[in-house]
Amino acid sequence: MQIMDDRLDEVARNLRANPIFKSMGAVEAISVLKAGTTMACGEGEVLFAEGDPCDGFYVVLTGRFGVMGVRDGEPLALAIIGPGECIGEMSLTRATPRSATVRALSNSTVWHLAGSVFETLIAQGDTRATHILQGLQVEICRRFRDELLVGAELAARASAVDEGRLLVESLGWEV
Amino acid sequence: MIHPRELDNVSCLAMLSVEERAALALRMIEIPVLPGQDILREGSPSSAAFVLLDGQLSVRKRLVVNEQPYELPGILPVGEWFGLVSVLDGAPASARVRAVTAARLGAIGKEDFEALLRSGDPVGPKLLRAWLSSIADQLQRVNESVLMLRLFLEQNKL
Repeated sequence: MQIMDDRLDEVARNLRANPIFKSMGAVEAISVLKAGTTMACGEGEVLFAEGDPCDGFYVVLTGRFGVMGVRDGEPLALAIIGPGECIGEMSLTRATPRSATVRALSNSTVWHLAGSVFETLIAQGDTRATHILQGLQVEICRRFRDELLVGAELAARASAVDEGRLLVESLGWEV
Repeated sequence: MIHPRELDNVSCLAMLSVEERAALALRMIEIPVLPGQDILREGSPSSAAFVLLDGQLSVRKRLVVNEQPYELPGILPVGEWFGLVSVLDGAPASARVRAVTAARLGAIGKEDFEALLRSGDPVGPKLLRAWLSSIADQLQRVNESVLMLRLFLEQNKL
């Protein structure tokens, strides 16, 4: 469903709470919002299942979602995603199938930017696609640097023994 | 000058059409490097993103192991971009990259890339997406390495 004009400011505020949209101004955020749609999900409803083809990404506006796994044969929420957080944003960079099932843990609403809409924005050189990618860039670079720091610390510890050094050298270093 | 066909084997640029790769090749510069020449220095920011077109480069990351300096080798195959994170977020390079043999690089400078993004040419966001895809692949490999290292350290009580 389309977002009602009188709710745009409120929804834009939610969107800008997300790191990907943080650097956007209010006008830009509203412009990006208009490229997507909002969806309601009832408690227990599956947003997408592991192995599904990717179709864009979501930002949670209200409610909570669980990234589902299985423990002792029972379905379990391994991670909980709340308002302002993204779901499936890495699908904007590559079209791999969904890596996990995401289910609504309460009655919720999400903003959805469909993959086909994003492709059209990119093909048209629309600045909204660039803004989204630049937001994603900040987030991916931060995650990469953080993980490299962890990797360096673990590699130094493992290299203290010969077997560990062989392992570290076989893994190599990403630059 | 970079021939557009040379970008055909650059993994993440498969997302661009032949025409878009040709347009990108025109915006890139070719950099010949000599054996022993440093392209990235660990701790220094990079003013360009590079792709290895031909030749052999070495990657070295400085670590301190048992209070001794140790250089961890890395991997950089032909057709891979490097220096992406440094050019995108301005942070220092995480390792040194040095030519082992005479090599040829393709490069696009930070300012040229930013101008391309502002130009409204779809090649700009498509290149950014290709780079993010490349970094996402690297991130996945680092995640896997971190998991393996944690397991090793746990098993060996280190």
